[in-house]
Amino acid sequence: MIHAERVDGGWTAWRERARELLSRGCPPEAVLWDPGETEQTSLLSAPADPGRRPPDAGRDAPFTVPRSFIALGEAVACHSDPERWSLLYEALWRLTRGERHLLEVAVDPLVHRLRRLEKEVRRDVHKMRAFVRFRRVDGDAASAAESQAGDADERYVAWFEPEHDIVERNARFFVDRFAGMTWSILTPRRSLHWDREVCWSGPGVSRADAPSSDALDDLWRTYYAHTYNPARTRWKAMVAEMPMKYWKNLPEARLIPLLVRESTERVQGMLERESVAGEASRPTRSPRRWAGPARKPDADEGPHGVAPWPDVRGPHGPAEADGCA
Amino acid sequence: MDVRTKLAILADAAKYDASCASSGAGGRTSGPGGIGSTTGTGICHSYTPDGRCISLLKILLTNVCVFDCAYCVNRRSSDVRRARFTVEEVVRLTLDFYKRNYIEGLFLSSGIIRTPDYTMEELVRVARTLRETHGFQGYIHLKTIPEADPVIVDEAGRWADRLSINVELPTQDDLDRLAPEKKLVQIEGTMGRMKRRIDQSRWEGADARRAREAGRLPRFSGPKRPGFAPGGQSTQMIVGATAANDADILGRADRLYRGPRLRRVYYSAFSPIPSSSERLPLAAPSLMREHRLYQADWLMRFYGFDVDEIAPDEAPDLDLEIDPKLAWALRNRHRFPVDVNGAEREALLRVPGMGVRSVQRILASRRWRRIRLDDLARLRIQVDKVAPFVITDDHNPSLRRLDDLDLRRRFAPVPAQLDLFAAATSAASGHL
Repeated sequence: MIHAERVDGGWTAWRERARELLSRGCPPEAVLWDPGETEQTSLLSAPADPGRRPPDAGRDAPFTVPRSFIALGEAVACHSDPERWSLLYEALWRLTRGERHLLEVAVDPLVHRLRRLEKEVRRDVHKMRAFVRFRRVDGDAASAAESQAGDADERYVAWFEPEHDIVERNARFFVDRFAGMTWSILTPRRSLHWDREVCWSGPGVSRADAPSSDALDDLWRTYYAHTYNPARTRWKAMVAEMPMKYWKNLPEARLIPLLVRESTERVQGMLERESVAGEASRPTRSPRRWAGPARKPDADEGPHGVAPWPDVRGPHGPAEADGCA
Repeated sequence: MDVRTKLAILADAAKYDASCASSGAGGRTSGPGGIGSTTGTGICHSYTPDGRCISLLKILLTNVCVFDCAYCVNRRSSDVRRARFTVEEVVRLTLDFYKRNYIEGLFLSSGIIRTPDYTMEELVRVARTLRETHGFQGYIHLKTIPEADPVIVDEAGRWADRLSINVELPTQDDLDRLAPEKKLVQIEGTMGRMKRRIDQSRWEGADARRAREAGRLPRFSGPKRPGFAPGGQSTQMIVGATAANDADILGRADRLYRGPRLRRVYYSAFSPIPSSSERLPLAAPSLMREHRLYQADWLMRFYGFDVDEIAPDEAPDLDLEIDPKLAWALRNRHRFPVDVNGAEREALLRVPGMGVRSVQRILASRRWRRIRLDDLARLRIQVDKVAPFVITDDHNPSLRRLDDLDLRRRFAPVPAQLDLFAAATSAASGHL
């Protein structure tokens, strides 16, 4: 017989269901998981951490799982993949039926898939921390840039579109960083608010409800344009780390096409001016430095036909956030 | 001059410094009413079309400078437009940018004005104001001026997460030619002194932690005060401005990693800069050479390679066509094939195409089952790249393959692909 299981309420709800199914001995192939809806929960003000085991759960629990499964499950639960619950249940089934070491076997296809989901959630969490842009909304925009840093009544609102259900996972981070500001982060699925004392989440809103600019954006774009080195353009490296889907919410992104178009002209101009000025007195280029002939732009380059440079990072795997450095 | 114009000039003046790291500071939070935190790994908040990340607000306090280093856009004899921020302007800019989540913090450097002591004091004043007046807990990276009074440098370390001095060029000969005011001995001396302060602060921190745990000290309350430059030191070398070879450059880096224990050495392909000095070669920056140096640097720090294995006397310059690990493997074919199911970690790390993480996963997995080629594929290892070098449960490369003199050609890019590395400029100009 096939059990249909609807999961309303995310990881905690799934755990309850899974625990029950497991105690009844239902094998993974006999369960059909329906993703359901994740509930709103109160956040940092809530006494119980939803990631911890509920106090009554121990009573009828004839099994335990490694701690690493809890961490994996909490992350995978945020993923938008509709198969996440069945994958987790299959892992749970195997973990409790003689394969307690399962998660150590990174090459196992199931583990491999779960780790990939976990990684995608982690990336989404990280990109939210990177690309959220707060806009100041108190007072009139013109005076905002002038007012004293540290004003008690500073209010900020941000709009962000995460791929997975990660907003609450990031609540702690934003509270820890921006404790002295009053802020809201709005997303299509839910919103997050902080009033300097309590953090809570509410329903999602539409993009039109969020402010679209800040008086400081112009100054930020000035910095962006001038910290860019036109002598080196590596389109691929940029879009790998800052995919174009994020651009519409980044105030600086509108400059990119312009900067790339200008850069080849600027460098060319610079080299030509220099070579006219002092060609004779300089050492000639060593052949080793010679970069190669010109060529036609490839389809996989940026829209402006810029040669993609190799990424500057370690031989394998991503550099630290650092790795850009 | 308004703040925007200054920002444009002083960001332009600072961008040839490749460092953008906001890592190593450990975890710190803003505390009630405060602003700022650090996460340990750092966050890149944006990327520019040069593929570099923006993590910190990277600016100079001023680009006025009494030094005359040939490679530097800000040297005394350059005709670049000059500007100078006030301490308050930098503080305001940092806080305003931080509150909009544009940045992780500040990377502040400066041209040398009046005296090294005066300049260093100004840098310290920015950091102190951010920390003391505004309770700022975000990341601060200060450039250290080696000629400045050690007492001032010490204070810089109290407020900053990271300190750095750029050695710029790998040998004193190179410096004598292009940066006559810079002395390698003095730079390394300052780095060594800062290392001792960093170590001392770390021990004190550990002692205090133990005392708190044992109840001999009251429990910590309020935001954590950073120790002495908890993010350590970094430096930068310019590549391609002198005749120094890669063995010189990597040798200097190795020395800095081992001696003053630098966290990072950055390599910056010399960029054509406006009004560059005529003592410099006229060429587009060799980004591929820079890339290979970073790869070699990774091999030294995470893969257990020595400099003379990567850049031996007979090949002191890195191969631009193939990566340095593959180049080493081809010079050392007798070390292969390596048995994925039995070899030690050190041997696995030396297989071209295998990363630190992959090796970790192989070691964990093979306790429970034998590894096959498609298992490697699942670890995102490029099977065709590692295949000639490894034995798995279902694969044993013929020794003939390994002795094949063609192996190099197999991995080197085909000639047409070399164009991929063409500088944007030559691609645009179309002349050879």
